[in-house]
Amino acid sequence: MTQEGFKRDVLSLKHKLYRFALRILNNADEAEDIVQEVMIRCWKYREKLESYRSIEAFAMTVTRNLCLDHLKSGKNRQTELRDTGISALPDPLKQAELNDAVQLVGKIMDTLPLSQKMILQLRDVEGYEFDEISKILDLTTDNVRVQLSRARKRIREVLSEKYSYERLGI
Amino acid sequence: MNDWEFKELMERYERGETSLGEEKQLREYLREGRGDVPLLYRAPFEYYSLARKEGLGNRNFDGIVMARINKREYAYPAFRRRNWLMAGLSAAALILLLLIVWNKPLNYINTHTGQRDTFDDPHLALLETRKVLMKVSIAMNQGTEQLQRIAAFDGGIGKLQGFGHFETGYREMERIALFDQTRTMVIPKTKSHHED
Repeated sequence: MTQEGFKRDVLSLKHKLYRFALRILNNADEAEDIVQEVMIRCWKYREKLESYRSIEAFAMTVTRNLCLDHLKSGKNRQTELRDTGISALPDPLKQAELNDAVQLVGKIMDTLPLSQKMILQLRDVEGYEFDEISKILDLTTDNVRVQLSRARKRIREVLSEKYSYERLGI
Repeated sequence: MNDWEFKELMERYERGETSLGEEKQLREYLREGRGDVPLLYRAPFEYYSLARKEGLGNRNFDGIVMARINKREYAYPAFRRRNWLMAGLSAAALILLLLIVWNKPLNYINTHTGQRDTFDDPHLALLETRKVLMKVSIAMNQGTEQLQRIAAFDGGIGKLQGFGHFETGYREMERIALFDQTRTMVIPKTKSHHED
């Protein structure tokens, strides 16, 4: 793999890898360091990399492994939740409610078990297929579906406790 | 998609049964803002949409990575060349050493001592062998005698350890003598006191 190929196929994944690392570590600096290390490893194994069916899945797996190692080492320092720039709604009251609810979703996600958190990130944020997620996380597809379902239900349950005054008016 | 279809799709979504295409439909439905969708459905999708926009803040990230890569790339082949050179030199040195070790005894016997390693007459060879073995035997016996002396010396050292106990007893006797001396100094005074 040439440097140009590396820039095109691997370096372009940096934001996706960063988001995944950030979801696991909850620390922007540490996530960036991890992604940098992933890039170096991908370059180091560039000759083998071309034989992989999906470079992206490989890079994601390396990211996951490095993040888990980092968590195990006890060096991880989780920072505050990130500010979110939520799209504007015409009604200020509804806008404020939506802002709160979106922040709450982030908080709920942080309380989920790590595997559920990773699955939710890969599926609902990054849009991966179930079989891709199962390869990245080394889980069965059924396990991925079950854990995803639990995570989505958990988010809905907490939100419905908080916003119980609302009824499904559709 | 109407409201009823949305609700049904949401239920399947929660069970993890929807495809990526169906999930895209849900996102579009929410983005278009059709129907009065409650927050508990809208908020997660809004969150995921925002999370998707997050990215590395460091604008120089590519430059840092490429600099690290280039450093390694230029270092690696030089390191590899140096390794090959070292391996080649090591192999040559080893071969040279083996040749010297292999040839030296033969050269030494043939050129310096003038001895021959074979005899034409078997009887003479036997006699020579006996002679050599006798010499070896005498030398070995001398060594054994010396070893016996060392063993005797070792036994003497063991006996000397008994003197350690003697020394301890002697020290205790010294203490008793001192006590006795003190007693003789104290008792006459006591006696004279009674006499008064």
